[in-house]
Amino acid sequence: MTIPQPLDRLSAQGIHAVPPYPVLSAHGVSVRLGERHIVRDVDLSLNPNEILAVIGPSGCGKSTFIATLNRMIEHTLPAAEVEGQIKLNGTQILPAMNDATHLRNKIGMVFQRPNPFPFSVQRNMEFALKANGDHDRSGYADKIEEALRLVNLWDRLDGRLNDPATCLSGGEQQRLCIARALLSDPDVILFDEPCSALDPISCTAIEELILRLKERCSVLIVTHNLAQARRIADRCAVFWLREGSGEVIECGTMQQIVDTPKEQITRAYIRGEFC
Amino acid sequence: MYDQTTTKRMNAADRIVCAAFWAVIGLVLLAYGKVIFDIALQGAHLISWDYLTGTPERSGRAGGVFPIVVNTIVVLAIAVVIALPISLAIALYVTEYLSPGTRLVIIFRSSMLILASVPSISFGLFGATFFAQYLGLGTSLLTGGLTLAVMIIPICAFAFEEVFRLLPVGYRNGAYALGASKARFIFRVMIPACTTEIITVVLLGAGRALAETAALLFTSGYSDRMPESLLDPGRVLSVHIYDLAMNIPGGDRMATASSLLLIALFLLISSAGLYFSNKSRL
Repeated sequence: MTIPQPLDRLSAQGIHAVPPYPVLSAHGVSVRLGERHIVRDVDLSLNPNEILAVIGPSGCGKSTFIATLNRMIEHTLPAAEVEGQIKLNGTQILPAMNDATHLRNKIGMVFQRPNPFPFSVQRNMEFALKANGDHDRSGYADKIEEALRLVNLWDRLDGRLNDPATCLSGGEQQRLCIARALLSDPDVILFDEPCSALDPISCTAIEELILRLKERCSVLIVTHNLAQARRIADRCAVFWLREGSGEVIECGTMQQIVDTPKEQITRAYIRGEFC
Repeated sequence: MYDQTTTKRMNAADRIVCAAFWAVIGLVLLAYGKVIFDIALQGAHLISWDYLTGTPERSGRAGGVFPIVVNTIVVLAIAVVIALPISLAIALYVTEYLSPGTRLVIIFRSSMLILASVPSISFGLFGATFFAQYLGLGTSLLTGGLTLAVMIIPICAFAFEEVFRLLPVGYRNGAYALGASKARFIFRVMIPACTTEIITVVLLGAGRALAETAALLFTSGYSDRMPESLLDPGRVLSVHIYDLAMNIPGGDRMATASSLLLIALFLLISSAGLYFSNKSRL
């Protein structure tokens, strides 16, 4: 049995994600709420600099599954029991290692609705830096500028960092949340339907941003928008509800899932026959 | 689709409901306005610099109220300083460390509701027995302040718990997803995000404490001299008003002046609190 080790110790030893190891891998992950399985026996892996789309109908456990990957499920669904094995850069993170906060610095997460704190942009960004254990205030300005430039918000916010974050538009708030997540230089960013509350123009900006992020880290995105998955994803995993539990019924390259799906259900779902 | 008649009927119904609401609001404003107007009419001309800075003479029929205002502020400050951290700690523990719906949470909520509805005279008797006699603090400002703190803790804790539960779930998720610890989330997001609400709750508690007479009759005492320590007895404004109106023949006029001062004091504290809470957001 692999003994769980803190990620920083492994990093200090120079052990990083190198092919053929996936950055993030889940083996036999199940989520149980009492007797009921919400997610059953999911095997998925995320390669370096890859965008993996997770698609499927509502209520099939997609969001629940991705919340297990950075252990956010402990907050979003505290009564849930998670089984299986999850590895980040070859380090076992499930069964749980102690330090979930450090894990979340390595696996960032962006939610359906933009959730900036009701403070200034500067304070939002500083919160992320401090949560990442960075207390060197002299470096804050450069790091904040870099992150905001990455998400194309710097031109809009230069000189206005003390403005309330909640006064930004929905799309800008979401990009600010992405910038906040980028400050810890994560290996993986999980996006849980990041465009579902946004207009098409903001949505396009987020998609372009996700494509750029691919150069820095790996991305796992849950989406209901098949067209979006086709535009940005390299690979795709299809979740489906079987006997009340969410399962991965098919996983492959985006092209294979769209053009030559192996499963009948996938084909029907892609063609919109369940609508 | 609604036809035109239905729409017209709905508009008429809306107008009637709206008018009814305005009527109720108008009645309430009228009633409160009359109380404040009467007090202001009878008491405003008595309020002067000498009144604010002088000491009571002839059992309060003449002179000023300076020691009484000081006593009031001291008792209120003790109550708020003790009640605020305790009630915040209770509410934070219940919302952040206990799972919703568990037996402990249900017991907490019921207890707070029951305690919040206990008559203030009972808290006064408790304060006189426990703080004054058992702890030996005697009839003093400290005993009065502690008694008021015990009285407003359930009110504040219950209200704080509601405030924290209504915090958008996105803030919590956002903070934890960034790798924040529970303590960082509580002290850097939750409490700052709820500053206005926290101050509003404190003001409600302080308002209740400021207006309190029954709990202080047995605990803080009647002395109208300037206090020299927290263990000195001291009369607060509400007790002063009660005494002038009920026990001092010819004290009615000064009672209305003190009432006006009490209202002004509360408005001042509320305005200052809300001003600073809005400032502290960014």
